[in-house]
Formats: sequence, structure tokens, C-alpha cells
Amino acid sequence: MQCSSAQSVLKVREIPGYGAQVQDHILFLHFKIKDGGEGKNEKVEFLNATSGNGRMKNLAVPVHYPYQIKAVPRYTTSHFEIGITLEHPLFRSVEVASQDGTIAKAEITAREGNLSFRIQEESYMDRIDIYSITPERGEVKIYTLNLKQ
Amino acid sequence: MKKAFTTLFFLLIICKSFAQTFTVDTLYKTGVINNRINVVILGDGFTEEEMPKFRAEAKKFADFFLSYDPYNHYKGYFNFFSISTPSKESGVTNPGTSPDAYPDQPVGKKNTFYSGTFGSSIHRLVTVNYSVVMNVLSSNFPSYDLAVVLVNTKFYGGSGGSIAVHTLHDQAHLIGVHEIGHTFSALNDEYWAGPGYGWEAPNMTQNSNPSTIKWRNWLNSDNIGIYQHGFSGESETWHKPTSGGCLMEVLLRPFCAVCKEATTEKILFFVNPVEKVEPDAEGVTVVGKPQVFKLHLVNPDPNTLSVDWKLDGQLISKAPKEITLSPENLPEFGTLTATIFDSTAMSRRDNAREQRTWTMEWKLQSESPGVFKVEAAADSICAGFETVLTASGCRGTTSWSTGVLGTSLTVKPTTTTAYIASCNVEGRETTTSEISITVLPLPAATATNTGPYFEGAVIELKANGGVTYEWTGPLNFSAKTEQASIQNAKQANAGAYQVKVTDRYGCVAAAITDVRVDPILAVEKSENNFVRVSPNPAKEYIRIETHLPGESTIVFYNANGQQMLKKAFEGKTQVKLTAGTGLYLFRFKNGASESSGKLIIE
Ligand SMILES: [Zn+2]
Repeated sequence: MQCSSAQSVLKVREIPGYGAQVQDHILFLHFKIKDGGEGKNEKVEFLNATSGNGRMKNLAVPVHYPYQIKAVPRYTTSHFEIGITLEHPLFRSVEVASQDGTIAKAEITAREGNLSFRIQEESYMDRIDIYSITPERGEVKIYTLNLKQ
Repeated sequence: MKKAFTTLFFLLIICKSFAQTFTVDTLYKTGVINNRINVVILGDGFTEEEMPKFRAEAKKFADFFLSYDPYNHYKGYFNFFSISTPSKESGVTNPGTSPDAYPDQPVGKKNTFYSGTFGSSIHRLVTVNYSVVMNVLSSNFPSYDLAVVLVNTKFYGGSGGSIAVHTLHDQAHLIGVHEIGHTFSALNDEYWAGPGYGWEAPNMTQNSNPSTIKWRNWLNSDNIGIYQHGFSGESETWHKPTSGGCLMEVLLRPFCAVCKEATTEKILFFVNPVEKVEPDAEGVTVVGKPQVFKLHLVNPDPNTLSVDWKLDGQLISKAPKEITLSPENLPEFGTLTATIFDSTAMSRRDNAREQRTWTMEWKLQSESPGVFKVEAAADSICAGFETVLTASGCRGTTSWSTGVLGTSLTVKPTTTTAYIASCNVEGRETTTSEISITVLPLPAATATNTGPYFEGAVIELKANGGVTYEWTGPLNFSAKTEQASIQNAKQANAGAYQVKVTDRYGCVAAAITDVRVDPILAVEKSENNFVRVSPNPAKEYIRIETHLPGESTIVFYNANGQQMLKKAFEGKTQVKLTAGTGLYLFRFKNGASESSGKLIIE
């Protein structure tokens, strides 16, 4: 199950669940992210991918916490590349609800965590760049997943 | 050489992972996946035996969500599904290490599908393994829009993120609805979450100017105002629409009007209320006979959709579902549009109409295009009647020589009159069409009788002026002839007789004749001298004498036939008539014997 590379190539047509007869595919990508140490970038390990049929609606979950992961699809065409903002698995902010109706935020840090997200597959998408956004280091690219049809 | 290097540099990845498929149950399916918001509910800590319980709980959440304002107005815009993933053990892991752990909750680890667990440092923070959730969604419902995980425990807890997690506790459903407020409607929290948590959202802003603030259309209604999040530091620069009055601040409150508006707009952004149109709007629709144009709409509850049908830009109908167009009412080539707008009061967005108006368009070709013409329901009418004139084939404004605007006109001319309709299309010469309405005079109806009559006589009625006649009168009298007669007249036959006279054009007039029947017998036999009334002329007192045995009656009438006095007697009697001088008639009766006569009072 665990395959890894600093950057890797994913053969889209060999992803489990990829329906060759189907027009629209949604890729589900799973990574492991580890703390790289003081001032260093996170270590990213690609775990696996699965694919499902269909199209996603443009329902972007807003993540505004200063720690974020951004996944940007890169296209061979001039299509607009819209990044997906995701929770940073090592710096999460969660809502804690109470029975009296009050809610508060709690910040949870971890040394390692899983990053899972889905993205609409397009035939002209040739890679996905993954960025880490932190107040300390700003926006840095931490991984590239290359795609091969 | 370079190519080989590249191939070596990358490590090609072919990961073998087996996609697990589970039972996907439909809780509510209102329409196709790509035109609905699809909510998928997962369950953790439900064993194989507890799957019915999981599905019941999933339906309970779906019902709770769909009854929550504003979702309750758009039930038909959502699909709900549940995915049954049985856990080896029932319940949820409880580390029991947090200071706020519930004292009565058993501590222990449970082997569950999504590894659901209460928090180790914040107890009520219940989380699941997100990657496992994504794996299940990937192979069972990849195109989900919202996902919710229900954790099988009655103890309160939950968490947010792109997937909402909460327990079966009565109040925990609200955590799910609050989280969906973030993920679906992009709402921010209305409680102050601390520095760094302020950002522009539909329900949060740094602008405090009442004339430009994003929720300005709600100010001073529905408890909406401009409230600072706090009074120091960053918190005082951020504003919210209510203070303690919204689900995004306090879980026990409903969504505030501003959050309802944002949610409603999101629903209408994702779901097109026009499900299907008939006929297909592709290509050109050739109209050779009356053609129905139909909309299949997803209606909100209450139905706030309004429909405008326009032919070449002119409003022709506001029918909610369908219209029928005939070829003669169309130009040779034209464009029909149906504009659908959700006029919901839940949103007060300034540009709502432009933003969420759905327009369907058909290109039409008429096989027998109409020319401008005027028709009348009847082009000749009897005097005193009205008729309706209708203009058709005008693609602009129709006006009438009477000054009235519109495609139809009701007229009631007293003499034969010509009417002109004008068709005015912008940028074109005005075309006109004329129609003359002939007014027919009513028949000169007359009715007469040959009376007055005595009883027993033959009443003769006579009418004139038409071709057909219809008599009615007392005692249900009816006749359909010009002349009519009634044999053996009785007093009950007296009264008004009406005749409806119809002429050869069908115009009708009525006439009335009054028939009088006097109580005196028309034929008095001389031997019928049964009674003696004396003196005659008399003053007031009158003696009445008969030789017939048994009871007799005598009735006196005045000259107009009105009964003045009635007396029953045997043999002889005396009466006093005080009705004044003049001629009186009397009528005597004893069994079958009758006679009548005249009496003068001086
Ligand atoms: Zn609100």
C-alpha cells in the first residue's frame, strides 16, 4: 500500500476505481505529512489514490486559518488553475461545541498526519502542486504529483 | 539518453488498493445527482446488527436538517443517502483522559470502522479517521457534496472540518447543521474565535457603514444590526449581524436572516429549478398546430418561483407551468423565452433578480404565421346586447378606435358601428384592421286579449311582431303560438300574460297583457233562480233567501272583482254591505247549484 517518492508519477488510468468507459472522474488522493524539523519544510509521502465517477460541484470549503495546505492543479492548456485550500494536518483548528450551545476554537498540532482530498480529473491536468502555507515560512511548494494518462 | 534518465528519475507508482463497496441507501431522492445537493451520511460504531439503527439515525438527521430554516423551504433541492459500513464493535473509543470527560461514560477502546474517538485533551471533540471516510466516499459516492458522520453514542460531542462529525445526542445534530453552515454556505462564526479568525464572509465584515455594509438590506428588521465582535484588539474591528441570535454564534439559535440569505443563495446557485423543458429547446421548433411549451420545475415550499413567458420580448403570460401557442398567433420566425425567478423573501440581495434568473429559450417557426386581424364574437347583435372584439397577430401594442389598449374590447353599440384596431410595433409602420358591428332592432312585440271575461267564457290571447312566440301566464299557462285561447275561464285564470316574441334575426322582445275574469257566470240559466236577494237596489241591509235545503254560501264582489263579503247560511239570512254605493256582483252556491247576479247599493 505504501509507495513513496519525493515527487512521483501517477498513472491515471491505473488508479483503482478509474472507469475507463466513464467521462468524468474524481481523484481521491492520500498523503502522509511529517514535520520536517525546525524551520524546514514538511516531508510529504504519497500514499495512494482512488478514483470515482462523476463531477464535483464547485463547493469550496473555506479554510482561513493561517496554517493551510494548498493543492493546485496544473494544466497543459490555458484553463484557469484554481487551487484547493485544505486544512493543514499538522496545524489544525477545530471547533469545540458545548451542550449549552456555546462554541469555541481549539488548535491542535501534530508531528505527523494524513492529508486526503479529492480533485476533478481533467485530461489536460498533468500535475498537482502541493504548497504549505504557514506564518513562519509563507507559501512553499512541498510536493508535486505528476499525472500520466 | 535524456528520456531514459527521466524515466529512472521518477518512480512510477501503481498502488494496489481494493476499493470496498458498501450498501448505499437512498433516504430521500428528489432528483438527479448533478442538479441536487447530495448529502451522504456515514455511521461509525454501528455493528452489522445495528445497521437498521444506523439507517434510522441517518434518516433522523436528514429530517432534522430538512426541517431547519431555510433548508425546509428547499426540501426538493436535496438528496440524502446513507452508506452502511458495519463496525466490528459497537460504540466509540473513550480515552477518558480529558479533564472534561463525562464521569458516567465508560472508558475504553472500541474497534470501529472509522476509529471514532472522544478527545484525549478536549473530551467532547469527537473525531474520526478522515482518510478512511475519504476512501469510503471515493468508492461509494465520489460526487457527494456534503458528508456527515454519525457516531454511535448518546454522549454529546462532535467536530467540524470538511466533513461534519457528531454523536446521537439530541443536541449534537446542531453541531452538524452549524458545520454545514461553514462548508456549504461559507459562513463564518459569529462567536469571537480569537485573533486570526476574522475574515470577510457573508455574516462577518470590517465595514461598519450602515449604508454600505453587506447586510444593509436587513438592518432594523429581523433583529439584524451591526454588532462588534468584541471591544478590544482585533475583535473590535470585526462585525456581525446579530448578538447571540444566530446558529453561527450559539447552537441553540436558528440561523439569523443574513445567514439564511447566504444559505438560500447557495442552494439556488447549485440547483437549477428548471429540471426539464418540453419541447426540447435545441434547434428550431416548428409550430404547425397549437403547441404546448412546458416547464418541469423544482418548486420551493411555499412556491416562490415566478415565470414570465415572452414572445419576441413581449410578455404574453405568467402561467406557472405551461402555455399553448397557435401558429396563427406567431410571427413567421420568433423567439419564445420563459424566465424563471425565485422571488423568495429569504434573500434581499440587490442583484438577486439578475443573479438567479433562469431563462429558457425556444426558436420558433410558424407554419401559418398570423396577420393582424380583428374578429368579433358576433358581428351582428340585437339592440341592447354586447359583443367582444379580439385582435390577433400583433407583436406589438394593440389599440382601438375607442381609445382602449389591449387585444380585446367589449362593445355595446346602439346602432351599427365600425371599430378600428391598430397594431403598433416599435420601428414599424402601424397596421390597422377594421370590423363593423351591425345592430339589429328589437321586434315590436304586442300582446292583447279580448276581455274582460265572465267565468266560463273563452279567453283569447293575441301577440304580434315576430316569427315565434312563447306565452306564459297564471296556472302555469304556456303556449308557443301567435294566438292562444283558454276555455271555461275561471277567476284563477285572471292575471298578467307575457309573450316573448322572436323575430327572424333572433332578436327577442316581450309584451304583457292583463286578463280580467269577473265572478259572474257568463251564462245564467233562467231556471237557476235559487236565491232571492232583496231589496235591489238596497241601502245597507240585504235579505237573502233560498228554498234549497242545507248549507248555502253567498259571496259579494265589487265591480273590480274583489271579494267584499262571504256568508254561509241555511234558508235565509241578512247581511250588511258597508262598502259604499255602486254596483256589486254576488255569487250563490249550494251543493252543485250555482247562480249569480248584480246588486246595486244606493
Ligand atoms: Zn448568522
